[in-house]
Amino acid sequence: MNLKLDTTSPQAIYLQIVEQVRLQVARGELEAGCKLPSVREMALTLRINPNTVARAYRELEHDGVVVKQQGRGVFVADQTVTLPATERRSQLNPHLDALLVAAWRIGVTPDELVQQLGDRAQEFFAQKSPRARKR
Amino acid sequence: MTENAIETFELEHAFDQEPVLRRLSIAVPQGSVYGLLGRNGSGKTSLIKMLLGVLRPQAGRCRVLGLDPRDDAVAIRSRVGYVPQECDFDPQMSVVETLRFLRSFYPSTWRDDVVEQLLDHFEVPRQPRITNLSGGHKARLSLVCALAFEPELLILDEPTAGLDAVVRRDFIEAIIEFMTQEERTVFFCSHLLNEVELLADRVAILEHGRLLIDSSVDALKQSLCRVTARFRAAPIRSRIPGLIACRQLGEHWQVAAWVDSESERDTFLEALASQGATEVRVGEADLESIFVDLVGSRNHG
Repeated sequence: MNLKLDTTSPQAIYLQIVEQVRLQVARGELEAGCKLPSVREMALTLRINPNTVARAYRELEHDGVVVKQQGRGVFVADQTVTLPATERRSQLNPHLDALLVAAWRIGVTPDELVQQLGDRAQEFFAQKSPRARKR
Repeated sequence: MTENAIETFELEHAFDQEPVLRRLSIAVPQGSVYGLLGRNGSGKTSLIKMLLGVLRPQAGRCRVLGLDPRDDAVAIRSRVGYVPQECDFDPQMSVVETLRFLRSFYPSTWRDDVVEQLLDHFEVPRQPRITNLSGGHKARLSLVCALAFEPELLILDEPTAGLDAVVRRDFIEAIIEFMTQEERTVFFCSHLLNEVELLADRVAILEHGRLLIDSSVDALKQSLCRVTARFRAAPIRSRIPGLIACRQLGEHWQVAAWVDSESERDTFLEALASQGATEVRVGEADLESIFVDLVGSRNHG
């Protein structure tokens, strides 16, 4: 598992782990049932506080991205949950708001934003494994 | 219940009328890694000496693992691993003799197997006298001794200052291994900010014996906004809310302010805009830049 941490980012280290794992799962690079490194291994590899790794895993577990099996470790969850459209929208809204604020701050126009988001979405969904795309 | 491994309340101390600690109150939660930052002479080592009962505070009080260092220094030392800035072993003793000597202070808790394993892991030779050990080996031996009796709290006072990257890696890994055990607490001083940033849950910044910051690393990074921008005339500091640093770097100015919310951030950016800021770039918020902004600004302006 390949994670890259950026200490110059204002984003908390545990959130960087959460987002990168989430992204790798979404892209199908980490498949359901795949075992994540233990807290200790991950902390030693990234040279960070084990509390930070544990916090990231708790967050991922809470979001249903991974499941913890007592005594065996942490595994990528089966991502078959399909949420109703209204729920999907309301879960996405805070992320969109953050994106809008970021775009507004650096002077991106609405058209540019839609264009760029469209391009990225195309790229992203093209990369996804067939199994993940089906859902 | 989460208790605090270390608590200090309004600690005061002065050497020859010169204050080294000023009403210092901190709390280190059990199970956390707490990084104390400060330049040389900021009071870090004096604080540690008080926690270990070596130095008596002139005012205020502290508790370490629920005990008062003024009354229970011996009990505290039996449960706290301490790695000093400079190793203070008898230079004429060999490594083995040193370990045998220290072992006698921890009759029930000293773990020979842990010691052997760590000595092998760190490749510390057993026969040489302390005086013939390299700086790196001395530091590693200090660490082995601090971990030998499975302490609940590990206190490290800039143990790797002046040592190479390999020794630092060994220390970082040892701290991580230590923290993977239940309810262990680490309190460490360092000026290697990158290490503190990655290892600490909370960070405190001490300057001239006073606490400037005591915060989680995440909150600290969130609440500071740094900007570089171009101004036609020097920015007027009093018109920038929350300002902590403002200095000229070539043609640009570097300006930093506390922002506790999105709206405060916007207010800060608007204040810069109203002073004619152009080429505004919101910059990096790593611990090193925060430290330099905070400590630097208090010395120069």
